[in-house]
Amino acid sequence: MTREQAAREASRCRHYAMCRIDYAGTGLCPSGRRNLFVSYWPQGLMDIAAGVLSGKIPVTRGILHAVEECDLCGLCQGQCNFITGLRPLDVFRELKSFLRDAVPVDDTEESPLVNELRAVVGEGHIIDDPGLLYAYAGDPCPVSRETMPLCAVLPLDADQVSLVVRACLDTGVPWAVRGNGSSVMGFVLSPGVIIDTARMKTLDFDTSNRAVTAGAGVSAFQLQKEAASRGFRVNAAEPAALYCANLMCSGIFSLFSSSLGTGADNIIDARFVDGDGRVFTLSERGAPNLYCFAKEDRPPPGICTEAVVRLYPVEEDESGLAVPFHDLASAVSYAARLNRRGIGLGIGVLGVEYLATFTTPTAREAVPFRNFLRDTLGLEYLVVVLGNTDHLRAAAESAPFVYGQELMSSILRGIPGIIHGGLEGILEGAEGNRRPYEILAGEGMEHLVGALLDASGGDLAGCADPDVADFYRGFYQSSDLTDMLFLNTFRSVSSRMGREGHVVAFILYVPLDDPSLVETVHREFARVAENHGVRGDIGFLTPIDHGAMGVLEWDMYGDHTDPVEVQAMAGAMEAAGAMIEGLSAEDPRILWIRYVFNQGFSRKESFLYHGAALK
Amino acid sequence: MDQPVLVTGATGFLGGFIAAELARRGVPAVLAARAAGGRSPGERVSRLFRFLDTAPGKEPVILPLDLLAPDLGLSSGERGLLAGVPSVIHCAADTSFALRRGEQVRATNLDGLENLFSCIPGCRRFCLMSTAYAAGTLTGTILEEPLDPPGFNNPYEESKNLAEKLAADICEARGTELVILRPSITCGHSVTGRSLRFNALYYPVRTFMLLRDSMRRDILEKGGGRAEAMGVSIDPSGGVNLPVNLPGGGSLNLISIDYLVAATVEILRSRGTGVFHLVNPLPSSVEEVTGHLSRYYGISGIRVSRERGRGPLQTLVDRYMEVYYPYFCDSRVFDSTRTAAQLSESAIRCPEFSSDVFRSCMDFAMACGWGEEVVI
Repeated sequence: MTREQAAREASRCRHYAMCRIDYAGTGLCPSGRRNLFVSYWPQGLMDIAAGVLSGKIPVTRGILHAVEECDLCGLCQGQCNFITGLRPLDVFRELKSFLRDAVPVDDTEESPLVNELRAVVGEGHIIDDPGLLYAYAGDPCPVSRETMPLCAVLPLDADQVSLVVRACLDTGVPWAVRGNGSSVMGFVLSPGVIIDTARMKTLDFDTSNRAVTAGAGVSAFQLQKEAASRGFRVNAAEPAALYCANLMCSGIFSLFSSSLGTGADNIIDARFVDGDGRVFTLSERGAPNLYCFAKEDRPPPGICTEAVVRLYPVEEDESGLAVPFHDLASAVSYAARLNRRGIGLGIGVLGVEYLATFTTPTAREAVPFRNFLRDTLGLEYLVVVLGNTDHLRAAAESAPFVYGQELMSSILRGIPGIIHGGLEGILEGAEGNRRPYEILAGEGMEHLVGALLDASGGDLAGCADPDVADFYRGFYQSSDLTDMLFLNTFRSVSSRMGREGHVVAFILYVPLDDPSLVETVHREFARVAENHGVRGDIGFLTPIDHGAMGVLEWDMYGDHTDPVEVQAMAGAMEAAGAMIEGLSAEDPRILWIRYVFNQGFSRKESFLYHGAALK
Repeated sequence: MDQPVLVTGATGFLGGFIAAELARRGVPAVLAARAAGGRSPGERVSRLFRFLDTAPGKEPVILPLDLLAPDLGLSSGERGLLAGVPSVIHCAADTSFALRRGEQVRATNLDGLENLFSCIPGCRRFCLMSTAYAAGTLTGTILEEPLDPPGFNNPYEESKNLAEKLAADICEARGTELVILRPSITCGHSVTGRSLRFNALYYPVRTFMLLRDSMRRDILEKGGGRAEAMGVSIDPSGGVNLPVNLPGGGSLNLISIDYLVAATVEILRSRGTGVFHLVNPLPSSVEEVTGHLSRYYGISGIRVSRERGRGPLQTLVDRYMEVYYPYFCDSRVFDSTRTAAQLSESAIRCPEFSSDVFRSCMDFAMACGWGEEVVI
């Protein structure tokens, strides 16, 4: 990899932070674990490499230390490549080579605030080296602007956070809170103090009360994994996102939200530090009422330093099935009906773009697999239903066609065979009145599909570049990445959404009483994307609250390193915003999640039905 | 046949073979074809002629005709040429059976036909390539005459029946001679197996071969668990036993393309008019066809039975082939008295669709990757 290639590769990091969770069980970056600041994790070092190798930032002592701390162990190469297709190890090799004889610029003078904060968080838990801080300065969001902070601190608990906030308040310096990634929407950038929650790792299970206390530095993946090891689950979303931040930001929605709810549904208590540095808990007398929603832009109520959330027991007979559909309205109707009738632990309508992207081993297979689903199978949407045997039996009884777990496994394991045409010979001649996807549905079809695909393709790991194939093989062998329940519980591959470019996700709450409204919303998004030359498609829709409402994600994709695409995406975002407001004006039940932002602790009833609030 | 003849669908299966035969005979032909796969109509016709080893006696005129485009997508000069063509063989058609493609089928086969007529005012003789199955669900003996069936098995049959009526009305109003040719299921050349399309009989055979290969591999290389779950095994002769039931009780009326071409040209040359059935007087039973599969391709276990089979293999086959099932149970007789009389002075007879013909067709299909290597 040349220096230019390394700089370009480094700039393509999407900050999904999958290098910061041990999602494949292969271990974590030793330097990141030792030093904790994002600058020492592969994600931050990629930002630094992009800056240094392109000559954008000077070499500092901090950068030399971060680079020295990286021992090129290569753990990050598989972890990152599996999700994003990037090659951080190659970048770091080039960075080390480039900096071999580098001389750092003189240190900047330390500000009094930095000294004060050091006294609060302790030596080693604050950085003000501008090179290291570069890892806190950017975000792939097309509308965010690079902002260099004054310093970054790693407080241990709410008391330290309180002192940091008070110090900022006293000196008039702004602050922002940052978790594992960078929010990918530009919300965690600040010219002042970055409060990095990476040290706040409290994780305390109280299974007798079916509750767990998670500190602000606990990721959704870590929480879910620990819960699973005790026979429970939590309602968690993106695996690398920090759980408290996710709760606070918008409330957590996942496929499990169709049974476990969202917003305040899973929250038992939480501790905050407010903007004045005051510590409070939700349950204390006189605490701010965070449960009620108002449709307005609100500042964060404070920093959530820990939250107590509900645990749900996992049953032994849980599994998943998928129901194929050609049109969105039918898929939405089916999903809403299941939810109305209390069927399923998790329900989601998935678009094929979304499905193809996160189930294919590398980006090379995504387009042919998507084309197979669309063009050969005639399938546009899959409704995934997760649940116990009773749920799945009921879901299957009311489904027009069912792809059981075994058939889905045969299809997903057989992606290489599909790409080599292993099913087309059977399907392309299907001249009947059935859609081709109907031909594959039914009991026992997994044997047939498996045999056909085995005969025509290699294994999933064989799709990867040879130097990372062992990582792929190991992960595919240790975890069943074709198991719908596993995939939706741990969401190990959901960040692949950003593999072909940064994703801007538009999330709306929509009423489900008229599925044609969902189709209208989908069409309008597609129109906006097309008008701006941006690639996009529906991601998912999950019915919630007994099928009354749904949470809909519509995704637009763009290369955040390409100025033309950034401009197109910015235009599309603006137009989409106006379009959503227009739809919402026509039907106020359509609620853009930007209004729920910072109100994630609201009761779902208060935002889903905000139109019914007392005037 | 010394006057110009327009052939539509000239790069399709039936139209292509007919166009090549006319060219070989030196008939001045106007060939209507569309561009495809980045290849121009002219390039496609050249490829067609090469594929069929045709050295044209006269270079054909090629028109980039689109049945559904305004003015057929032609320039005024091309329309002028078309307007003066005295004789037309209309082979262009959408042959899809799928209900979901019904609108598209009707558009091509009916709207397209009407559009064509609007641009051929000089046509004095019009030959419509229809199908024996324009008879829809009529039973008994199907005569070579206009038909009013009570229903149809698929949109294709219906569109062809309506197209016959439409052509009859227009031709009657204009005083144009009308020839309606109704071929049955047309396969490749009876000797070489050469074909341009590999649907109809080919698709099910291809499916059985795919199943045979994947099951054999599963048994021999993968432990055979999947094959066992589907009741598939290796039979004593080393073939693959695919336990599937097919409906029967009728026969498949299969003809070869060389007969269709020869009969078409002869009927036109001898100035026949009216309806002609280009069918096989000796149709093949489903048992005979499955026997060919067993004999030549190592596929056993396919039973002809009224009983519905069970299991995933049967489900697949049923779903896949249900659209063809009416033809498996077809006990009708397609009368071909008029055709026989028209061809009586020639030596043209429909060859039996024997096991040798079946094998030639399928061997050719496999050799060309079921059409993948036949790029026209």
